[in-house]
Amino acid sequence: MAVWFYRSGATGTGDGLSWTNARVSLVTMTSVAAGEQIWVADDHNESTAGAVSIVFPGTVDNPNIVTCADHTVASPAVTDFKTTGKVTCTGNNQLSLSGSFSSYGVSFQDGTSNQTTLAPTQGAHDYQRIEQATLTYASTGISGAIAIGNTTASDTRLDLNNVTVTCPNAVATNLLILKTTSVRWRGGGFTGASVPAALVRMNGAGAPASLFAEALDLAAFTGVGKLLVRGVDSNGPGLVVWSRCKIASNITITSTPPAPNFDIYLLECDSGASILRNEKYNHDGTQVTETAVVMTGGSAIGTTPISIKISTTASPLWVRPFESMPLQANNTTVGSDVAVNIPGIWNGTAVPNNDDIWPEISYFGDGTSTLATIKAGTKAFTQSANSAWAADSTSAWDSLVPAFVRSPQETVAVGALRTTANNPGRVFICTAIGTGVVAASEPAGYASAVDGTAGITDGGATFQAMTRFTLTVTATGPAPALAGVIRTVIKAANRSKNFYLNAKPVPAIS
Amino acid sequence: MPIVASAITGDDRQSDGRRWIGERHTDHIGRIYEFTYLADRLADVVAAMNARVAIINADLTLSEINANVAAVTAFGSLAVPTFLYSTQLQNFAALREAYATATHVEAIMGGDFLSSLTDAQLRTAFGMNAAQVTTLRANKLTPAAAAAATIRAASGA
Repeated sequence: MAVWFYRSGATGTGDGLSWTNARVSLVTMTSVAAGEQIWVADDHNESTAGAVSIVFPGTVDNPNIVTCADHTVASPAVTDFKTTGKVTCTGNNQLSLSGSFSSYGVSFQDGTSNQTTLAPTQGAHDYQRIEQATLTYASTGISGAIAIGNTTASDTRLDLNNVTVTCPNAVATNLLILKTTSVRWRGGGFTGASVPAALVRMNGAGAPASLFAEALDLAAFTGVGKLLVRGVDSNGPGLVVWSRCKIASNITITSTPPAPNFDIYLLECDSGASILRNEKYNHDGTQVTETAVVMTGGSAIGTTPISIKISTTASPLWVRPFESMPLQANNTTVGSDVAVNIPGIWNGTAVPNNDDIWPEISYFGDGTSTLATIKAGTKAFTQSANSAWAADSTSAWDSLVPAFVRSPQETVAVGALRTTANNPGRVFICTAIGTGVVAASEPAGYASAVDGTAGITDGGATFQAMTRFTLTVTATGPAPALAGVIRTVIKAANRSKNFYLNAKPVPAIS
Repeated sequence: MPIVASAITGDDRQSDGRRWIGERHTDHIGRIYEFTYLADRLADVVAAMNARVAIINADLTLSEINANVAAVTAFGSLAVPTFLYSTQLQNFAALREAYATATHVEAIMGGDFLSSLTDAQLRTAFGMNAAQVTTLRANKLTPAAAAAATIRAASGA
């Protein structure tokens, strides 16, 4: 196989067969074959006042290997690799990358006018890997982006390893737009003072796209109203996972997607040293980790008590509920029924029904294979009658919820949660405000309240006792036939409600 | 402006002092936009909510314009643009920009859609006089409409 050399400052023959005679532009791929090595000089700084379309001859299983290296070394070794190669276009022009390749140390930047794009994976079945580089959306306008994939080129994949994205010249609407592509982004992140309105948007227009992002430094992606994912404007089926990234404080992960075909996950990401944030967002609701409304003696991450908080939107249906991330419990009971109980508390005035929220378990009911048995603790059909879950009068949920502050009198907002020593175990939620200023002394209604008691007037606010309940579903008919994990997914269909659930199914299984 | 009502629906203080904030915004046709985020202990969440209104309004406008342009370049004169969050003038400006760089089928469909507009609409969209519109129709739009008709009539049977 031939080996090719590119150096923007070369003045030789341009045949590309040595540094001396290197080609000056990666646009020139004459005679380059799939799989061949392409060296890019460490001082390669190719800039074109026109559209740039680099079409690598590499194929998905035989990509070109593009490596930035010291141009003073005739046959570079790994110790000669550099990260300073650059390809830029200027003006109202796009830089697009097609074909399959794996690059190291070469950065790309698009033109500077409105609507320009930096566009990787523009060919069907492209596989591209970009490592140790910066992708710069240099436009001064808001409408362009780093547009990965397109709707006419299917089945593409882009791997970004230690890649930083930036948009120095404009507050772009969306910095990364994914169309009909799969992106895996590990290491790197976002940099720069100009922060786009949203970091990622899915624009599949009916075509699927996914992003798995891990170990990114997104602390610079900050600002009021900024979104990591523009859910409301995203089209097509999509999946975005942020795993163990550093994010800015006060950042909003996403706006609610308009259709139930797009899930966003946040796994162990935070602005500080907290590993508690595990979240899910989609059209029908959100799941976040809660550290105040927690059940005494319940679930914890490390030594921090937690519960899971599910907030449904105005959209879920019984046939299409919000589904939590699975809870897992190891089961060693074989041949006998196992009851899975999940205590919870919500802002309803009575216990929820089994079509408002319910657990669904998956376990090994077949002793001869790993075919799962699934049991749902809900009604059988849409038209079936529902039934109320059991009340829970013993679990305490108040240990970490703040108490009322009456000296000086605090101001509360709708949704504020408080406790009182005169009614231990219970949590009270603010349901309406006038001034929002609580009374100077605790009204009598708190001490006598039971679960669901509403209309407790407290100065310029109204509170309600939240209602405790227990979700139950039994692994029966068949009973577990193999020891193993019982997975529980909580499904919630009652709209615009907040449910807090102990994240550790109790009792009997650990 | 599309957003007509905004409210904080949750302010849930956590053990480390941060707060889970819920926001709900309702637009002029009753659609609801909800946001959940973890705010710092002393964050002014009302100010943040109010600041987000302008962002949502701009997003809705841009989203509708993008959807309209995508429909036009895909379906030509069969596209049915909507103007719930954007104006015709805003859409004309975006379509003009998209048509200027369109190629292949997108150019045909864009031209087909524009050919379905009245002369007055074309004068507004392109800032042209009557003679220029006539030339535009003859050189670009009418041929594009014919090409679009050919595409629609094509059959493999």
